Amino acid sequence: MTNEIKEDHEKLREVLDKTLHRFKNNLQTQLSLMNIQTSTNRSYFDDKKVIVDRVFALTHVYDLYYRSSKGESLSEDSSVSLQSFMLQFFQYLQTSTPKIDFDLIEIAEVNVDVDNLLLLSYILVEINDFRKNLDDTLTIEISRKDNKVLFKFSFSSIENHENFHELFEDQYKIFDLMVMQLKGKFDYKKKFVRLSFPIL
Amino acid sequence: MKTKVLVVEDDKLVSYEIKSILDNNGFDVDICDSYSCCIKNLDTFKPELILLDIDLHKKYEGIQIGSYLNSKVNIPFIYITGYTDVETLKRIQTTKPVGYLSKPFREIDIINNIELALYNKKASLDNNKKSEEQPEERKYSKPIKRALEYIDTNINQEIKTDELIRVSGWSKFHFIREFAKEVGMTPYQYIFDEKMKLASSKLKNTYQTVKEIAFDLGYTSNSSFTNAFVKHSGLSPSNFRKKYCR
Repeated sequence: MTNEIKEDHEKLREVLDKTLHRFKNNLQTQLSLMNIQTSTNRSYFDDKKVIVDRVFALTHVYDLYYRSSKGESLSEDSSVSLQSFMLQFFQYLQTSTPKIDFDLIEIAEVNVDVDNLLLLSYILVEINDFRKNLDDTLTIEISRKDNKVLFKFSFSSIENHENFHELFEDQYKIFDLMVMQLKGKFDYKKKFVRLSFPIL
Repeated sequence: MKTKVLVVEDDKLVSYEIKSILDNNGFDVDICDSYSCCIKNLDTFKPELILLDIDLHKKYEGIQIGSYLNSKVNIPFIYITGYTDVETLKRIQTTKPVGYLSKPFREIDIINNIELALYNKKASLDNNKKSEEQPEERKYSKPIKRALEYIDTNINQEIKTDELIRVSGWSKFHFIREFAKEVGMTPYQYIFDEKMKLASSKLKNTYQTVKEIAFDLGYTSNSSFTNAFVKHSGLSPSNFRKKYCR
């Protein structure tokens, strides 16, 4: 019995150490994003909203991460349910931005690493800023194909999304870096832009 | 001429930010994201300072690089990491970095750490130059110094006493007597201690298997290395690794 308590205690300490380490890295990413936007002259339609949204994404991820780490056995895994996070985050975005429609297709079983989920939410924040810039309606669809997550988005005022990159070229640096970090890639189709990235 | 700084970081956002900061402050910067890329860049880019993340694609891959830099090349390096737990700090200390930068960091933190590291490097070079010009009283005689240098260079191989005697230029008995007098132990004990120190460091800081470490240190069999290590530390190599690597 004593050994079990000791093992649980050690495991709990390991999880806390890991969480603190991860959290500091995530804060570093937030700071880096702010500094990169200055160094690349990325100007946002609404600077304050972008930063607030990133902070809320971080909070939502850690809420879920904390809850999933409280299971009966402490998990070594650092992934979080994509569906739970997206439902929570879209709900949050829609309270201030009703012009976002979203559809989650069969992703109930998909878990994504906390760091990657944060990057995905920051990409979403960037896309939302493009939408505001266009004063447009944004439609997003998230699905899974094999070992990849597909993240499709389209703007109602853009007729051909193959031109999406040219349209926002000057503001693309942060977007590109985040996609590189996700090991993902963009496909520009007429009706939508698709970001695909691998999951475990 | 600009000071060359190599940034070893696998997070694209963080490495881009560090590069921007260093570019703005007049440094020549290159970025790497793995052990192999870093080792390659030591020859091609020839950095004067390295900023090193602890976790790359593999956990603690940065410490492995730090361990290599400490034992093989004389380039100062600074760790950048979100770790602040005692175990990790103890592990990184064994690799002798010139600094440690905790995430999240500010521009001023990076620049201050780099400036300090470069200043210390320059001061140390100046001191070495002075001591070469005005040698202090030597700790070791020249023959013993040559033998110690030979051991240091060939620590990864089996070192025979006859070879040490040859590089010292003395007779066998004179060499053994003088070595014990100046170093405080026999040549055999000294070589054994140095090999075990290196083995402990590799077990703590690298992903090498016990068999590979044994081979690297010039042991012809796994069991002779294990017996030697148990004699030195009281633990088998695998138990030692379990105890010190969480």
